[in-house]
Amino acid sequence: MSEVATPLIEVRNLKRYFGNSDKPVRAVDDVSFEIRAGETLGLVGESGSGKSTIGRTVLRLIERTAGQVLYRGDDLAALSGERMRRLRSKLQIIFQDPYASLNPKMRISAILDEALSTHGLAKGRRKERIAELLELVGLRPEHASRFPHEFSGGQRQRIGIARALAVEPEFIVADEPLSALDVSIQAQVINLLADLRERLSLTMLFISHDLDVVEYLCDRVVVLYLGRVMEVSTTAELFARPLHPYTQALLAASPKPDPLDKTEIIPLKGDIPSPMNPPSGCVFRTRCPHAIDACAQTIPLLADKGAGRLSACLRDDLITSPS
Amino acid sequence: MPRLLRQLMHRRIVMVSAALLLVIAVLALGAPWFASFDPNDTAVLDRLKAPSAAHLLGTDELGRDLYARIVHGARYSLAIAALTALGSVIAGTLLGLVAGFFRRLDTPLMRLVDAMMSFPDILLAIALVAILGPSLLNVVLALVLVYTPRVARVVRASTLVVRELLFVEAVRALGVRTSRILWRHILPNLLSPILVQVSFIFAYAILAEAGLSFLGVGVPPEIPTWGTMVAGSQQYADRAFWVVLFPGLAIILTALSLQILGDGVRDLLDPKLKKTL
Amino acid sequence: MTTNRLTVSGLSTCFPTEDGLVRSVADVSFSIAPGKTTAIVGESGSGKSVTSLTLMRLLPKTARAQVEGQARFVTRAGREVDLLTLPNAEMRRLRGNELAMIFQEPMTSLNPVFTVGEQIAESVRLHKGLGRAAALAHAKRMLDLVEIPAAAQRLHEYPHQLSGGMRQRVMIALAMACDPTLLIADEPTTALDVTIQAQILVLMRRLQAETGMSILFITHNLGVVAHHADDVVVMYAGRVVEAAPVRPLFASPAHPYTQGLLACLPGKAHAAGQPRPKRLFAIRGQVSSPLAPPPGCAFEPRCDQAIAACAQAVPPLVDTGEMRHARCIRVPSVERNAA
Repeated sequence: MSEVATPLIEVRNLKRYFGNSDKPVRAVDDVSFEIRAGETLGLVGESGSGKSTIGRTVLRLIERTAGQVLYRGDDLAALSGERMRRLRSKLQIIFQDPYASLNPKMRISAILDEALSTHGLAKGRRKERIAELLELVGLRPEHASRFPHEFSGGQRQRIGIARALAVEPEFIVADEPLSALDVSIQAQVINLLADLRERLSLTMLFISHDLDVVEYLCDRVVVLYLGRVMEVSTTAELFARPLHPYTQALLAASPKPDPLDKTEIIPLKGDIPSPMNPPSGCVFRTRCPHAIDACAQTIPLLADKGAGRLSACLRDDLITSPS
Repeated sequence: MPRLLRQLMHRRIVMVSAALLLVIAVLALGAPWFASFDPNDTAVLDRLKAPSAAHLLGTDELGRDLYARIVHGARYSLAIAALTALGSVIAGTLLGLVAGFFRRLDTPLMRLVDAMMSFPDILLAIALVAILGPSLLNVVLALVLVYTPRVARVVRASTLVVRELLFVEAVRALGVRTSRILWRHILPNLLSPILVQVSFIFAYAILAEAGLSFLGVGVPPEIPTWGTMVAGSQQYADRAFWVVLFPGLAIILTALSLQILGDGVRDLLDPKLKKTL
Repeated sequence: MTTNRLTVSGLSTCFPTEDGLVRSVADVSFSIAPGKTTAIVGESGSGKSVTSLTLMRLLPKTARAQVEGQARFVTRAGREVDLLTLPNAEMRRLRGNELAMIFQEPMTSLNPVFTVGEQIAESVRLHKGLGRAAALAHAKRMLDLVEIPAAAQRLHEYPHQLSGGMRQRVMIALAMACDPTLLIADEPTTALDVTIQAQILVLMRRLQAETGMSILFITHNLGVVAHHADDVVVMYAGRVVEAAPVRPLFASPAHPYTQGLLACLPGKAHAAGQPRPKRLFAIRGQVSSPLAPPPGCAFEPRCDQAIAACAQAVPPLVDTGEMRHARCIRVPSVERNAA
């Protein structure tokens, strides 16, 4: 096997706080992970986990408070405004709300043309390129002359994908791209993303709260809680044998669409704490069934628990080796 | 667009106002053809004559045909109001757009706007005309200064909203230049509130000019605007009420129609605004 | 034999719009037994929400809805009433009392200017005639019932001071305050986080076991349906396309839409214990516009099993045996078998 190459995206100790300085909202609190070229990394979490904020901060749509985001080894925050603007063609995003992500007053052709002309692409053959892009996402060239409101949610999401692909990106942040869609349409878009990813060799950061979709689409998963990383693992290992108590609870809480599946749902007690007032030590300790006194004292570090699986939990004693 | 017009047409009073304004505009534009008398022709023998077949609205203290003066005066009054509306909308939009979009410029610009707004309209206009001297252009300038802050505030508020919309973030993520974002994405979504402001400022300007001229600090009395007409003839009002009544009615009807039209346009655009956004 | 708590027959709701008549709900029939949970499953345009609003008579007057059909509800006293034709005053007596409803967005369903305790107390005072102090005490008991910690304190808090999960519990407390016999829950957990959703679902199950109330659960989440419903009604484009008890529905879905829906879930792929399939099964196309419904079966344009006859007429909902119904000419009916 070849040696480990520089990861395409590297996030180091990323922090993003909002609001006033003495009691800020700690949306992202010391998050680190990396994404290798060609891989799809899943970012999973509930409200307050910071997953959406991370997605936007990685693309520098929001400025970081501390930490670094490296693209091919370069710190994005160190780039000038103009260099960053031009780099954006390589780093794209698909949004959650297909009803709001397209300018309602612009025709699809204008929307796609704008993307192309911003980076000087397809000069002299815009119309053809737009037709190509529409076909790439499963729409027809004649759709170009219509307005967004003439399309369904699923179709609008396809248009959003076409727009992101128009600038020929390497890396795409997919911020809950399926949440606003019906189940039957989700399957269509999942297939589309998987196809495109393979055809265009895309690297993806897939943000979602839907574990089933993450399991289907992602190679590795980062589990977030209240702005911190709880666990990092390959998809297969995470779902087969979750190490962190939060991951275990999360998996147990999502009902499988099978009435014969007997996994007992023991719901967590209490609510997700406010990101303005996170618990001391391990942020999950207030709801963790295995919390001990030490959990309130130290913030557990994300450590290798064997076979490259990372977990931020003091209780190594709970980890049983695979049978 | 056609659907909006259809719905506009359902509101009778708005249509009536629009029709009235159209009539006034046509009369103003084609003044020489619509009035048989020259507005500046004095005929001292015919002064303060009541409305009759010869003089539809009577004559003023110098024997000038009131109808001709009102029709010609419309040109000036409407021109002043239109220029004011245009000027304040352009200046106010620029101010509001920049303040709303660029966070660091927001506070200083808005403090400037607050300072401008803290003066009562008429006093500010009077002061400016007093400094700059009475002339048509100076009146326009003064009124533009008075109304720009109002437009700026409304535009800034809308800009703050539009700036946070997802499709604006989307084009930012594409790498679209800021200037293009402002011109192509933000500004078109501000047109609705701006349009509403235009019609209201038009109305206020007509009243303001009339008020200023009435007080003698507006346009020079030689220029026949409706305001100067009322100002000049007010001392004869007890003997010949028509010299004040008809110019006054012209002012009221025009301003009222503009406001009704503005209301109608705003009501129509508001729910649509939410829908299109 | 116990009579059903609610029996809906031939329910139809149409809305006249500028662009034509929209049939949101057409010929919907189902029933809910006492103490049981019936889930209505559907995607957008299925008419599931309009169904619940029609039953509760909560459609806005400006919608000028045209409602047909019957909704026979058996009150606690044993009286049978038709919810759709009940006089307004009597309907108001039932609503919030025996017939309760909880919605998807607890923030907009709770009045922001009244404390949580006041809102629950109001309902109790109205329907049970209790005095202020007694009503407030009852409200506290309700908050305890839905496992809200520090209930005495929460009584005096406002909705915006509570988290989403808490607010939904308050909604449930409000619904439970007058001891309902039927609870209509319209996507109650869709807006909540997964771990909070699990709490709410377990709570609802427990309350049902304790009070014996029936639940009409409207959702698009098949995982929730699998574990929390006794019977399932699948809706598509305003009609019931399949109805069955939960296990048979998941084990052997009869209608092609139900089959497609279950097949396209990524979760299903894993549950089978097989390696990740390269492509997910996806139902092609999308729901037709309610203004231009297909002439025959509404699902026909997207159905891989459609034949020529499917496009000619809307299939009837037929009994397919073992308490199952399906609206598809390709599914054998009991009558046909018997013939």
